Amino acid sequence: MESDLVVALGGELSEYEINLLVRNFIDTPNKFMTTESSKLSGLIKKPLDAIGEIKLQLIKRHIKFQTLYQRNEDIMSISQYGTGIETLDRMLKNILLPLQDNRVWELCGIIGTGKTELLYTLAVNFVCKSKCTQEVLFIDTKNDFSVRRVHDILRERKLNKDDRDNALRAIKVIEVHTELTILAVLEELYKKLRAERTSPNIRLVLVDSLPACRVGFSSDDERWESCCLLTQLASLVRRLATQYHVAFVIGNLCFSQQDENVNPDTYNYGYCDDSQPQTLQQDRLMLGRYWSTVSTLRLALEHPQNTNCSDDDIRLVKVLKNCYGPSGETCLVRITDAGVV
Amino acid sequence: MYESCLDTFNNESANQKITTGIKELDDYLHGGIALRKITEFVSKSGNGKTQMCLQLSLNVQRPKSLGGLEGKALYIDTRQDFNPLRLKELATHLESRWGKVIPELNATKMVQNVNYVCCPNVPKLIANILSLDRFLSEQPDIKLIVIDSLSFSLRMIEEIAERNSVLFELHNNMRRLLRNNDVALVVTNELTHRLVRNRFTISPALGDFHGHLLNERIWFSRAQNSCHGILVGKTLQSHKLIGLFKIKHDGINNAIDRTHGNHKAAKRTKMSL
Repeated sequence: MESDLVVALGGELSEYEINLLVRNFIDTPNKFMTTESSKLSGLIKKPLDAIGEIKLQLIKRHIKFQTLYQRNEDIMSISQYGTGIETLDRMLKNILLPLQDNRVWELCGIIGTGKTELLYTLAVNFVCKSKCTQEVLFIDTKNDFSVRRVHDILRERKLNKDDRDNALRAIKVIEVHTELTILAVLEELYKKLRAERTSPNIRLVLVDSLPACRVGFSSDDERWESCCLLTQLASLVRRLATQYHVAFVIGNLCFSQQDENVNPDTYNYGYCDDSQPQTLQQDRLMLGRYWSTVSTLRLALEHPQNTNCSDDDIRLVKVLKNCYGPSGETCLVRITDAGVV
Repeated sequence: MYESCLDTFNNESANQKITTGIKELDDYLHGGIALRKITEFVSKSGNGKTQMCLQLSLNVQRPKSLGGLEGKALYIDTRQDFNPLRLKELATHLESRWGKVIPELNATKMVQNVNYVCCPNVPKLIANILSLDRFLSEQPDIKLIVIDSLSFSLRMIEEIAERNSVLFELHNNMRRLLRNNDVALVVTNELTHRLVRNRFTISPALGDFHGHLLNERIWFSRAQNSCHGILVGKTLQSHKLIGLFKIKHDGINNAIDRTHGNHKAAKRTKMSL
């Protein structure tokens, strides 16, 4: 059977020269490329210029660039779901970043702003829009998932019992308590998608919320272990998003800069998100600086500062970070019995 | 591998709750305090947190024939403020209501069904929480654990990092306990002043992350006519008034008859945290 090196360099080098290389443990095109040209020249007795030319030919044959037109065709095949919340979708359309396959988003806010409510709404809107053909996986880390609330949202939308049951069937819930368990759940999902069996048709994963499953890590060693797990988790999320087009919305918690009960060393595991100059008006994110680089879009849910806004159910959604365009866009949403609208 | 919402929804109706005795609060909580969840009562001193905890310690014993759990309670007292005479007074009233159904459930029996442990400092509190698994396996009838108050002893730790570390440890163990046992956990917390964005605001003690880990936070406030207001929501900014109650000799009662527009009356009543 021909080796990779024979296939790659059969035209440029003789069989004798290839055997010489193999005997010196240069048996793959990659090793040939990474070995110094002077060493190769000494082995196969060819001038340096000739070695350089061979390497150039190898690059030309094996590295294929994709044109923007071809890339655009790939992009066109991606499904766009939308959030189902009119004002939010309009804002996301303005920044050319609708909710679609392979998005990794982060939803943050201080406690009591309605993050969980927004995640419920995203789950309901997603399954309703796909006519329950695609499923949502809701990862609940706070032991707080209220199926009754989801049911109430569906009922408020005047869906009949069959549609409600189908929607509830399409929302899968799993309760996890540690980062290790989240990793295990996502690994399992990855394996199933890779095996292409009667795979779960899960296209959206919602996590409520990531900081809550890190409460067990209190000592310094445990916090460092937690950082390692966070890195693994980020990598797995990216793999699922890019290879299998699963979209993620991950809940995170903000805390006030002056909250004396929040010590960044304790909560942020030594990684404060100080990548941007912070003012006293800004809140800080949990999970640290590394995690802040994982998501491509970070949405913040806030109480509107405008005092004219007397309605307690109004929330301001703000784009805190956008890897592909402008940030700082805002829109208002309302928390109602029928979810966030 | 994954459970669908429909499966959970169909199984949920069988779940039992501990009634609070306040109609509006029970309605909001879909029947009462849920098992396997952490519920926090927060208010200024004297607004009814301890009274509610005592009442729940008895309500958990409600006979099954009346839709109750017929369980027992464990009362963890960190403030050394437990009043057995008040508990007996509440039990005597309940005896007159439940005695017709189960004659042997008299006031003395009800008081005996409330296990009490005093934890005046943090090491004792942690030791007790850690030993609860064993205690619950010996006493499977216990359906309610009350910690009155969670913040009292924790706030004695001046070093913030150490306080957070202890709080995390407690939360971790409490969450494990709730995963393994069919029991409800009720904790009380105090209000404190906090500097947020250069302004002092009133907020519950122990910080936002503690609030994030709770399943329900219920606020009690003082209202007019010796009534107390019930508010729900994680923060002061997002809470909502849902009803009023009165603390009487016979226990906690709805302040205004629902048929007379309790909700509207409650909204009109001036509230003061």
